[in-house]
Amino acid sequence: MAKLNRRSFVKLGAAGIAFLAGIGRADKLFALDDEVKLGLGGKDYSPITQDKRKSIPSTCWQCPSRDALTCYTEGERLVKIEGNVESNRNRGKICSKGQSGVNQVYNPDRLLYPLKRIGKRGDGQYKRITWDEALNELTAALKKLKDAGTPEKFMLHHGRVDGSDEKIINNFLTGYGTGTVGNNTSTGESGKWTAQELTWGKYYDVNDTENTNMILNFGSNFFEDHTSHIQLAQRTVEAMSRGVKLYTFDVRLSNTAARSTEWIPVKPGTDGAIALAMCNVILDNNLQDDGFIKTWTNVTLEQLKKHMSQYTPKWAEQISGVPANKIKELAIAFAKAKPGTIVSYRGAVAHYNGVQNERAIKTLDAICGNIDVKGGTNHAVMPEWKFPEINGRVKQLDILDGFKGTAAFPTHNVNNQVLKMIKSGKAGRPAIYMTYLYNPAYVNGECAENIEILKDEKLIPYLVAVDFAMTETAVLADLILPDVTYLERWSLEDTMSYAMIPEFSLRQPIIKPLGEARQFQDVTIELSKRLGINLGYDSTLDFIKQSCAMTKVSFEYLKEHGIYADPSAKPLYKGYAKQANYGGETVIYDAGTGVYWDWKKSDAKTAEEAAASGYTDTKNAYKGYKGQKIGGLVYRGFAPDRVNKSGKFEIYSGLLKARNFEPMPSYMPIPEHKKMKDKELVLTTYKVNVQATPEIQNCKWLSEIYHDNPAWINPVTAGDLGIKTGQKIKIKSGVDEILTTAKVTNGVVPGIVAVSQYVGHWAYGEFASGKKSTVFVADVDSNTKWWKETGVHPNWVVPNSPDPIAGQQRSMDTVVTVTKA
Amino acid sequence: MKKVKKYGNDAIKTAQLRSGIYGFLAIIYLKELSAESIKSFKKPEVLNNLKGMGFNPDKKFLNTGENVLSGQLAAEYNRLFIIPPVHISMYASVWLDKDKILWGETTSGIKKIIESVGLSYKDNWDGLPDHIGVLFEFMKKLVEKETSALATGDNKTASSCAEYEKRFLNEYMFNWVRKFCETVKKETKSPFYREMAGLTERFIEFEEKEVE
Ligand code: SF4
Repeated sequence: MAKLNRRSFVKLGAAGIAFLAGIGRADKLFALDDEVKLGLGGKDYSPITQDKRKSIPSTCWQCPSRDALTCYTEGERLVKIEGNVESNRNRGKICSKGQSGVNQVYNPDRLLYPLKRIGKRGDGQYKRITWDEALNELTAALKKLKDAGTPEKFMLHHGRVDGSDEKIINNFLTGYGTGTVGNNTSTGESGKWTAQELTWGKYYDVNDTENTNMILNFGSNFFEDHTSHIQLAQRTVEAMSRGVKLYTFDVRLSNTAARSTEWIPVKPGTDGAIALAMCNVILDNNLQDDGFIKTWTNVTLEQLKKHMSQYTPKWAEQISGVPANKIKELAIAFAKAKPGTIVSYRGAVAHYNGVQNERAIKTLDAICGNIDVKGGTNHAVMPEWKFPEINGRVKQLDILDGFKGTAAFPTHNVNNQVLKMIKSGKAGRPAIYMTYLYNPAYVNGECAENIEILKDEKLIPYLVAVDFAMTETAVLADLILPDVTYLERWSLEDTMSYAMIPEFSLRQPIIKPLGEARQFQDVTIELSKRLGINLGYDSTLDFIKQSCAMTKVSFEYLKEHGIYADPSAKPLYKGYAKQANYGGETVIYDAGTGVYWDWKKSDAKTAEEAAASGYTDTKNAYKGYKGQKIGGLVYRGFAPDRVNKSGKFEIYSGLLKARNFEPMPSYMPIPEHKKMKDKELVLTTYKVNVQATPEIQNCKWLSEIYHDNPAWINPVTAGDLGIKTGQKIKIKSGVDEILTTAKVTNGVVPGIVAVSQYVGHWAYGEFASGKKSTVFVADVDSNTKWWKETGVHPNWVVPNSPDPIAGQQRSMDTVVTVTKA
Repeated sequence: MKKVKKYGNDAIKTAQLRSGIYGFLAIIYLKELSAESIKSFKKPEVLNNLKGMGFNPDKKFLNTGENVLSGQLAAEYNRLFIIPPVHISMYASVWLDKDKILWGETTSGIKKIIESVGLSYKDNWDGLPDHIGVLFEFMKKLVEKETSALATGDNKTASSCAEYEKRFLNEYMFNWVRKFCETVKKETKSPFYREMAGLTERFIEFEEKEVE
């Protein structure tokens, strides 16, 4: 069959046009009516009244992916949520969690009124108070600290908060004067981000599977859950339908592993060893990208070969259990794929050695020439909002990064250590500990200790919880402020786009907030007024409109479409190879690194001081980074973020070396795993699609699908322990024990026990915990709920143990014993 | 959003040609060809262009009257697509869904996209929403919109159309239409349908490359 070329295409086109013109009323022969109108969003009709539903675009928040939504209302009621077809990110698709947002809004267990504790802390006795009373109480407490010159004793600890939501809160806190602000990043993935900061600069990576030729996956269950779940999953599915192969290394046959071309079982925490051995094979076979290594990395090919020569596939087989031949075969195929891309996540990074594992993985991508290329592994592109900004000096309690020496580069803080820091009191304690959409009692390890600390009024004199649900932390609070759900709020979002074109997105209220729930950002603005802090905006909506104007994105357009992407923008690849603008009077050159930097933006006081201490050793020098000199030219390079790395892709990390870590990507054995005794197992935690975040178990549609989580054990291991499927078992670690049932399956490797996260709530509401709310009436579906199980939460037995480089919570390293209960 | 793709230098001309081809293919597959459609097919502007790209109608085709030909082609259309045992499914879900059923997930997905851009299925359309002819027609409508947007300098809309086209082709056409054509070529006894399947296949392959 001759292929169609441009000439025959023109002929076929001309024939087609003439053919249609020759049929008298061709339109009668067609099946579709009307004209194409873009930007309509979806259409939907009530199945009962047949009336057209109103559609309102917004942005999801059931998980960090923040997909673009089209929400439908009938009358004043939200009835359905779909994906926004206009988005270049999720392209009209969402997951079951996104659809179940309806349950969050209309969950009768949600918080609708400010509540004040009246019994003993933790007894669950509250009285409803007015907002005015609540704010008077809080203002008085805040004012007292501020007047005493100790604003840092007010700590706000927030969960997943981004974009305008985060900025408004931070403006308030800056205006107030506290820098004691915690986040939740080390619970999930800070090891991954810190590794990226040490290696290629700004964190967040995008796997361009849409355009790739081969995918390796180290420990990510991205068909079920990922920071960009829908974006990545749908593009990978498309790639696989055109024949692209996906190889998943995992201790467990996750749904992603099961849908991969091949599941390659590995021992826990050994992903780095495999990646290093792949580097070894590629270099041994001279399949590396010489140009990239020579120009953009800070090592020579010889150095790299010498370093990697120790990591043979045979060595990696002994460590990881993956056959050496398989490692060789995949390494060679991956190097030849051009481009390939490597996905990695908690399976690889939530370990003692997570940072080094991620560095090994990024190095593997780099030596194959996959960095920032179409079909490769790329720096994320994100919309850059301009927000009204409050500047000022803040004071901070030194409790955010864990105990001294906990982590060498806690660039995203060490949130799981905050309560322990408070308990120890060595670095001071907050007088007010306010949680916002953060549930430390549940999300940290060692739940029993968390509860003990949170309950202790001597350690935490005033505990305030801001949330939309009665969480395990809220039930201990002295004051509870009801936040709105994400379907009742205004926010500007700034998440990454896998189309490699930044997309701005708006979250807007689909319905009016229920009860007296108030968006916390508005509450902070109100508190600012009461405390005399001048913010320059008087509501969240005002802030959002100002931000849109500053960013030059039409607010009205966003309201109508939910998202905006510049139609003339092109996907951004190889940003590092663009030439840099490095002019400026205060810009100096650092000969040691080849970096041009603006010393004024660092902590140096004078140019002389900056020049004397140099780029690497001047605090916050990275903030002034301008460009990297390579040959005779200056490039944007791999610009640093949060640490003073150079503009090169740093396979060799001088920063790690200075802190006595191996500077080249290396394998770090996990100390506890080396000392394991007979019959001890490693506890692995994982997430399933419908229960992938801590905030959704009370969504009844999701809990109906998944409400129990028996522990997975390999038949060989179960045989050794005399355990059978369905038997009650006890999982015991150095900190606590949990009871659950066993599921004996070949879907996990021997020597581990796998328990899913994010069920097993003991508060939150009826569908999450099985306990009806003490405050509100139950859902009508209480009567039709056919299951009793609520699952078990593994964090009771997981120690709050950070990795030594980033401070990432080591959710995958816990050594346990499993016995019949 | 992606940049408007260009086939050669003249984006408007290219878009016009593409919408012509999609419209043509829609009529070929939506239903049995009417005498009027066949008459139009036999016009020199159509035939000569098709001949120029290797289509060789036999004498029988050229010399048989439209009404008779329409009956003959209808019989073959029915044998190929409608009646067992050959019964090559014209519905995307049968080719794409795991359980190979009618009205599968793919059907809902296609219907949703088509309706999301303001189109509706005619009351008298008695096929399912994911019929191959509908897919061609939907592409025709999208490309038409792109053409008019380009003509008025509305680059944003043109880009959006190109993006929709790309997504729709990737998600619902490139992954089965060529297999469908292969099957038709193998099963048909009619030179006409063999040629049409061949043309379709070549065009889809061409589109796939261009979209990439
Ligand atoms: S992946 Fe996350 S953001 Fe996307 S629809 Fe599901 S819950 Fe919402």
